[in-house]
Amino acid sequence: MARSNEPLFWAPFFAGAGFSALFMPAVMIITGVAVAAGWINATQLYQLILHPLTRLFLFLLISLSLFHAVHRIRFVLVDLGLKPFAGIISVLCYGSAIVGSILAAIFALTL
Amino acid sequence: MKTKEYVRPMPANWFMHNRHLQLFMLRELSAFFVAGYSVFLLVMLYKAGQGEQAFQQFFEGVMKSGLSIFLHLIALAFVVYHALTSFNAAPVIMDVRIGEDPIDPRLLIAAHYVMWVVVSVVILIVAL
Amino acid sequence: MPEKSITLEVFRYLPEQSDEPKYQKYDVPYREDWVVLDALNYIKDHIDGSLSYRWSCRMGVCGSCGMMVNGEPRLTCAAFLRDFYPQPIRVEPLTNFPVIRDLIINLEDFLHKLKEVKAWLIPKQEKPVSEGEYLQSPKELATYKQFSMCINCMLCYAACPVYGLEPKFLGPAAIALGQRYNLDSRDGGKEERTDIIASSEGIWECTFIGECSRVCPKHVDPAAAIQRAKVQSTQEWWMSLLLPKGAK
Repeated sequence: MARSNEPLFWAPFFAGAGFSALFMPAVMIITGVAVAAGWINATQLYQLILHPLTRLFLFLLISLSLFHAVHRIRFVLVDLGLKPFAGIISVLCYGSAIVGSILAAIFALTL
Repeated sequence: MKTKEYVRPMPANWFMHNRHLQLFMLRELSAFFVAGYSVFLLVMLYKAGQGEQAFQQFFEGVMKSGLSIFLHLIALAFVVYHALTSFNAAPVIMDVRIGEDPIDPRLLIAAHYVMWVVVSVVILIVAL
Repeated sequence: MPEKSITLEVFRYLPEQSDEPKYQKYDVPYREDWVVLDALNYIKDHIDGSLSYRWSCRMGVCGSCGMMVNGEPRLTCAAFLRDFYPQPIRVEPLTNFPVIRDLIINLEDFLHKLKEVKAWLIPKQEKPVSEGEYLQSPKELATYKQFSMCINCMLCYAACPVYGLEPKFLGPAAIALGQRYNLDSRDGGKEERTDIIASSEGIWECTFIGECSRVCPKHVDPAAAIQRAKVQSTQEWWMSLLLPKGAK
C-alpha cells in the first residue's frame, strides 16, 4: 500500500492547532471585549495593525488557523454522512484555506 | 455451512452515544468558529488597507455592533475550548521522558497552560 | 430471606430462526462479587443453554470476553454487577463487528489487520541461536512497553466511531501493535510496516477522538501511538520532500 500524502495538509493543520490555541483567544479579547469596553479606539487599533510585526503575526494567524479549521471541517462533514462527496469537500476546504492565505498575504503586504 | 451474519449499521447520530463523543463533536465544531474568526480578521486587515477612514467606519459600524460582540463571545468560548483540548492533548502527542519514566502528564499540561496565560497577557499588554 | 436478583437484557441473534436479533430478559441471582460474565455463565448453566458467547480466562488476560455492557465496550470478566444493581444490564456483542450468533462477533477483519501490520519482531539481522539473545536495555524496553500490553480484546475497535464509519481503517490496536514493534530497538521492520501504517487507511483516518484509549482495559493508549505516528510520519514526509534524494 502506498504511503499517503496527507502530511502535506496535516503539517499546517497541526501547526495551526497550536498557533490558534495559543494566540487566538487573546486576539479575540482585543477585537471583541476590548473594543466593546472602549479599552481601545479605532485609531489605536489601526496603528497597531499597521505595524509590520502585527501584519506578519496576523498573516500567520489567519493562514494557519484556516488550514487547521478546514482540516477538521473536512472530517466532520465526511463523518456526518457526506462521504460520497469526500473528494469535492477536500478541494473546497483546502482550496479556501489556500485562497484565504493568499488574500491575507496580499492584504498584509499592501497595507 | 456459513450462516448469515448480522450487521448493525452505524446510527447517523453516532456522536450522541456518550458524553465523550458529544465533547469530541463540540471540539470539532470549534473549527467553524476558528475559521469564521479568521475570515473576520481577513476582513479587518482588508479594511485597514483601505485607509484610516474606511477602517474607522468598519470599527464603529461593525466591530462595535452588538452582533459583533455577541459573535465574539460565542466564538471565544469555542476557541478557548479548542485551546484547552489542544493543551490537554500534549502528553498524548509528546513522549517526554526522564530516564525510563514518562514525566507526569499533568506537569506537561500545566506547562502549556502557563505558557498560554503568559503569551495572552503579553499580547494584551502590548496591544492595549 | 428472598434472594436478590438482577435482570440481564441479552442480545440474541439466532440466524437459523430469524434474520433479526431480539433482546431476551433473564433474572439471575445478584451477588456482590459477581461480574457480568458470571451472570452469563449462570444463564448458560441454569436457565438457557442455547446462549452463545466467548470467554476463557476470567481474569482480564485472554481478551475474549469483550462485549457491550450498557452500551460501553467492557471485558465482562471485569464488569461487576454491583456497579449496575439494581438497574437491569443490557449485554450486546461488540459494536462495529458483524454478529455470527448471540454475543459472538466475527473477528476475521481484526486478525487480518494484525497480519497486515506485521505485528511481530522482524530482526534487523537474523542470527543463529548460538550467537545468543538480542539484548535490550530497560530504557529501550520502556519506549514501547506500554503498547505491548495489548491483549487483542478489540474493545478499542468497538469504541472507535472511525472504524464504525470506515471498516477499512486499520484501527487502534493494530496501529499500536505496529508501533510497539517499530519502537523496539531489536526490530528492523519499520519501513515495511510504515507502508501500511502511514497509508490513507492507516493513521490518517484517525480523528483523535480518544475513545480507544479510554476503554482500553490494559492502558495501552492507542490514541497516543497513532498521534505520535502522525507527527513522525509528517516529519519524514517533509524531510524527504525538502532534502535531495539519497541525502538522508
